[in-house]
Amino acid sequence: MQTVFTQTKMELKLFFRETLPLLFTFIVPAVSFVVFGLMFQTNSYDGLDYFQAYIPSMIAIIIFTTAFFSMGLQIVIDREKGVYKRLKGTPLNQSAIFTATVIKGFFAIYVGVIEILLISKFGFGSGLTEHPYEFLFALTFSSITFFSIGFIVSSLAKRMQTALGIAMILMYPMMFLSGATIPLEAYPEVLQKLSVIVPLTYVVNTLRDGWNGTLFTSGSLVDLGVLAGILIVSTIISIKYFRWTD
Amino acid sequence: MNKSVIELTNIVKSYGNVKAVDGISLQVKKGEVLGIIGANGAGKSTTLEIMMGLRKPDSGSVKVLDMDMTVASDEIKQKIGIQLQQTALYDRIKVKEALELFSSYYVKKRDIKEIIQTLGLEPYLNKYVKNLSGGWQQRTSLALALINDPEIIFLDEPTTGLDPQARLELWACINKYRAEGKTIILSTHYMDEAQRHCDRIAIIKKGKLVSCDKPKRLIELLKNRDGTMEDVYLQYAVER
Repeated sequence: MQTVFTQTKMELKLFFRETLPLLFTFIVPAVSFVVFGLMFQTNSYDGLDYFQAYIPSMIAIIIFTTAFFSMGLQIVIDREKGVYKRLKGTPLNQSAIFTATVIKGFFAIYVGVIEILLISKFGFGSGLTEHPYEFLFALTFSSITFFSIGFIVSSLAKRMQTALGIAMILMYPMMFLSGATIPLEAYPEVLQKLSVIVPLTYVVNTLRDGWNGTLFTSGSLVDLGVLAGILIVSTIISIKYFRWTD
Repeated sequence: MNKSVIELTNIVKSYGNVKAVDGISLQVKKGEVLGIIGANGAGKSTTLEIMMGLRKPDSGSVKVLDMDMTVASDEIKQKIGIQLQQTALYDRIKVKEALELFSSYYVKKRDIKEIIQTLGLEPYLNKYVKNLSGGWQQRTSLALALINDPEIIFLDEPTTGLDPQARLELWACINKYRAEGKTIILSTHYMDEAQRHCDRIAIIKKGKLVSCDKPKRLIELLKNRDGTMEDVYLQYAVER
């Protein structure tokens, strides 16, 4: 237990020293939220006001960037440097490294979420959710699902450049074809259909359902089902292919 | 006194179709400095990494400190210290943080202050490891290898890439721990080092142990009696 705590503390310390994950977790979503907010805060989206739609959206982006950059990419960087190989030569258990990495992911996401909530409440004077537990459930479930995808990235990519490339390329569809930024209704029909294959679409929907108290209705079954499917498949792939050392 | 602390028996390890280690048996005695030499790709690192418990051999047995690696690797790792070829640390970790982190992994701990003082790391404690010169990175790795006051110290090419002064200084450090009776196993490409500092030298060629003896004895066996370790290397380790 003590080792997990020490390892997590170190992971967090290192996380706050990395520019790219910090930028994508705490700066890009927050800035986008403020800019969109200033432009569109009076708009409504499919029956939701700006805040009901875009607080969950920005949090979806935070989940994506944390899973892909702070976890997937960072693991590849550390593995390439031989960090995990060196640790294997100590009595430290690999499950402690795994636990520390996952806790770091949750920490990054929850801090990012608090940041967005503070901006909404004190920057825009918006009300927050009346369904905190439903939202927390949606948030945690979506995060775990995306962590499992992050581990696929670090299973497939052997080099830092590969992992960075994958994360950067996927960032575009994740941000723009999931409904997280531009409303899907604004796209031509072909692009709208593409959103079906973007995993973050289901996170956006699930988080919106959680935020607005419609998570446990039949309307969210498909989204939750798809995320559960992704989680199961990614976990199987990661168990088969993920290695701390090469 | 001449007890074996490491016993490798008929170790085989392949990567795909390549046999990196092809039936090596080797015993290391308590308190000796054993040097492993051989060409790049001969299997030095793989052999070392098998002894460190980082890689599992395809067949053969590894006993360290009378314990079998397959059943007691955690206990073994409490009692050995390792240094890899790469510095192998987090990009953004500082020297002091690395020392504290690694110290937390072990039951038995050597006084960190004493290690810092012996290795002269004091001025670098708050610097990022990756910003240090090669020599100081290697000293940091050496410090981490000593942090649990290990009985056996493994060093994979500790002096490669260092300038002559840094090499001499690193050896001065290593010899301090040798004087305490630690067993030290290292690989090197520098024959002068091997000759001067090692009690015995194991020569590996294409995954096989071709010879293992005292440097003096290896030199005596050469046809040319005025030979050096370089000649020994050329005789045994090089493919012709």
